[in-house]
Amino acid sequence: MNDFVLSCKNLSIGYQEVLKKDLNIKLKPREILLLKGENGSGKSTLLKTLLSELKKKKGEYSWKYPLKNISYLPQINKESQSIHYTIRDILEIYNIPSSNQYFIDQKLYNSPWANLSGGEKQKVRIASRLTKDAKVLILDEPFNHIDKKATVEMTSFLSELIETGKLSALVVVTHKEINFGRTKVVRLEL
Amino acid sequence: MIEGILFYKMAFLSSSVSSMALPIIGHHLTLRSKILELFFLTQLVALCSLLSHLFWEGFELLWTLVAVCFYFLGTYTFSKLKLEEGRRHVTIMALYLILLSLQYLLIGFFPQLDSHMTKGLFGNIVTISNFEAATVLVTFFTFFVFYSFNRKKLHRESLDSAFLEGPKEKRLSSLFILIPVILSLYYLGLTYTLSFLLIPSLIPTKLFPKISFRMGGLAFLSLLASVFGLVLSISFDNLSTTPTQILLLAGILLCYALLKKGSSYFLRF
Repeated sequence: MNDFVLSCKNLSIGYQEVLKKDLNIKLKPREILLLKGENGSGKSTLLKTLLSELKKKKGEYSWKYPLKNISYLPQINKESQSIHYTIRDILEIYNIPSSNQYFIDQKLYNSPWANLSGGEKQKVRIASRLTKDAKVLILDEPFNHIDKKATVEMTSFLSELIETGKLSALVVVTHKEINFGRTKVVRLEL
Repeated sequence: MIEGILFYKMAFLSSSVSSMALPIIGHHLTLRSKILELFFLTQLVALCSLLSHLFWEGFELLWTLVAVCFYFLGTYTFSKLKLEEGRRHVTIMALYLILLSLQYLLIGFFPQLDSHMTKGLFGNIVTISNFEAATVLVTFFTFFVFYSFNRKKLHRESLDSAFLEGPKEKRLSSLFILIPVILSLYYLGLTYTLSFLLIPSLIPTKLFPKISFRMGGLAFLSLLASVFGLVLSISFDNLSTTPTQILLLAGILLCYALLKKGSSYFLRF
């Protein structure tokens, strides 16, 4: 079982009612799990179940690592206006190792959060999840409100994190067509 | 003047520590989107204060604890109700108005509470008793000790709240943030507390780009406003303490902004 970073066997998920049943996932180290599906298909419910925020309805799932090693960035729907921090402040506050910061333009380090573009903000949010404890990163719709160039930059950075072993695995929920290059991607349509 | 300062030393001490801590607390409450809840809290504390004067004069601390318990019970209920954001705001405002109406109803029956309500609104730091000042000092010093050891963690939790849209609330840090606010509301007044919590957070990021400078700078400017406001109100009989301190705070922050970058920052904000 522990050869897999994530293993799900006949997993059923949902709130009151079962939303999806008999989900089977096997995610190996250095792989990306790409979850796709329509709105309301159960993508976020699955993530909440896997993060133990929601009880499973039936079946089994297990992570190779304890939950403290699983980093999660939820879908961002609104922009907070009162973040009076520079990028350097944010990276220092979250103790992000410098090796996990390089995809952020160094010229922006002293810029206030409010001055960043949507894509730059999302990069900083992702960087804020890359603590030294993070072994698995879960991203819920990370490419929303981001232009094509920033999406390409981010996917190549995320692939690199997997290829270099800085992250053991990555779980991405998205409705977009994303190309992670040479990195092995396990697709699951919900 | 020195004699005056020595005579009002407890007022100066209370004013100094509270004015330095409140902008820091206000920064975190703003990031955690707790401002509306804060208004609910103010009325809860004000009601408990009136009840304490009505029934158990001399047991202020007990009533303060009652206010703390009611507040946390209220926020816990809100979290369990899982109201959508728009509905949550309306519910909080409705509760605010209900609690405010309850206070006016109480005053109708017990007119002797009127002066206490006015004091609760504007406070009167000059007449603070030794017991009240000691409570304020101990609470704010405890906050500073907690803050100095948990500064990074506190910023991380507040940023998580702003980034991740309402992750699970950390009860312990909320307690350390809110107890000084409740005590300040109780002993220093609603207008003073809210002003020193919220007005400094209007300063644009560019004027204090680094967060440690921002926290230190806002604490220092607020301290200046609070202490000079107190000195002025002691020196000039016609000057009420809290309004003087608040207007000085706004003035000092405005002057700082104008001196540093020009008035366009305020217009843009």
